[in-house]
Amino acid sequence: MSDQNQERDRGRRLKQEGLAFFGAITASLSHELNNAFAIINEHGGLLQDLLLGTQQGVPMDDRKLQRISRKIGAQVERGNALIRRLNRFAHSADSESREIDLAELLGDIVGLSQRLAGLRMMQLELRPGPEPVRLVSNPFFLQQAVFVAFQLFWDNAEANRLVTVVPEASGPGVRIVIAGARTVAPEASGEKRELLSILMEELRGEAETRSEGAAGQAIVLTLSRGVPASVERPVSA
Amino acid sequence: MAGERILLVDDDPDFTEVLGERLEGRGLAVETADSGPKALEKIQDTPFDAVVLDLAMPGMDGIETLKLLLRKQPELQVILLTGHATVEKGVEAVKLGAMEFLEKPVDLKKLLGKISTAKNQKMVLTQEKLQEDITKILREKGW
Repeated sequence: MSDQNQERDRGRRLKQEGLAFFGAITASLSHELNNAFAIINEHGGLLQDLLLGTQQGVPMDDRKLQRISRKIGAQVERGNALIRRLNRFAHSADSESREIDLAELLGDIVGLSQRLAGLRMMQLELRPGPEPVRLVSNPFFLQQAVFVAFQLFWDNAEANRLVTVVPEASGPGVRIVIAGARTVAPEASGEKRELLSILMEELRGEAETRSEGAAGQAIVLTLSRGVPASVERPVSA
Repeated sequence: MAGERILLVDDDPDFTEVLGERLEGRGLAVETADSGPKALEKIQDTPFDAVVLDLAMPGMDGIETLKLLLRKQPELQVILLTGHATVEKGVEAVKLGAMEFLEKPVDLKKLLGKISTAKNQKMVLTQEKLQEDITKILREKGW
């Protein structure tokens, strides 16, 4: 296959996988939002039930009213947090290169992926260091790369109950260490590992899977702090 | 409603708490479970007129739970609750033997109607099974 065709296929794949990633995250978030609305809906209905009761002579219970008000408030806050996260995620596709606070970005992708991990009985935990780690990169591709790494653990969900995410400064660059018990076997995850490779190339970085001994395995994403390849060489159609 | 006994299965306790409260206010007896395995335990001990089951749950999801519930008690009436994006799965569940699926947020009047239907349906199935058992015994005894 010629270099041009390869480049075109690679570009097509990046677009397709990017859309799939966007779809998976927004579908999951919409489900979470729907759950929050369902609870608010029931509490609204309960208020109506209580009002009907007062019309039939049943005295209003103030403590119950306060409890309902608190519960509605909590679900509204839950919904607001989801919307803020969704908004940041949507805008991460606006720019191919911007300055990123790595812990903040990782906090977002961990939050966005938590429900999907939870459905597989897995928990994601961000462990930022005391100092902020900053870089200039493509926020969408970077979140996507981290998400693919999560998938490599949750596709082997029986082994993995907790996956930690640690951002680190590493000399002139940065590192993201995503660690769990064991990733899914390479022979069962070729496509995802290839996608991760492609994404890391776009980010001018690399991914490696390493053993952490008794502690399990880690996928380590290493990047420079500079301008990613997708800015210098736009993704071809 | 005439004292239907139902099991609410959803991993979100805020949801089961408030829906349970509204249903109890209408005279139903409500128990809750926050997972598929817990739902399977509960039906061993208590005869329920209907199970209201969330589709998306961690670990054992709603479809898997439905299959196991019906394997244990084929006459059990299961009403699935689905999010908007999972209507297809709701249809799949009905093909697997769920009585009905409803979308969240739930229309309580609709849900109550389905629960009432569920109770009647279960009574009919239970009577049919009883009739079959009696017929079988009579045949075996040659009476």
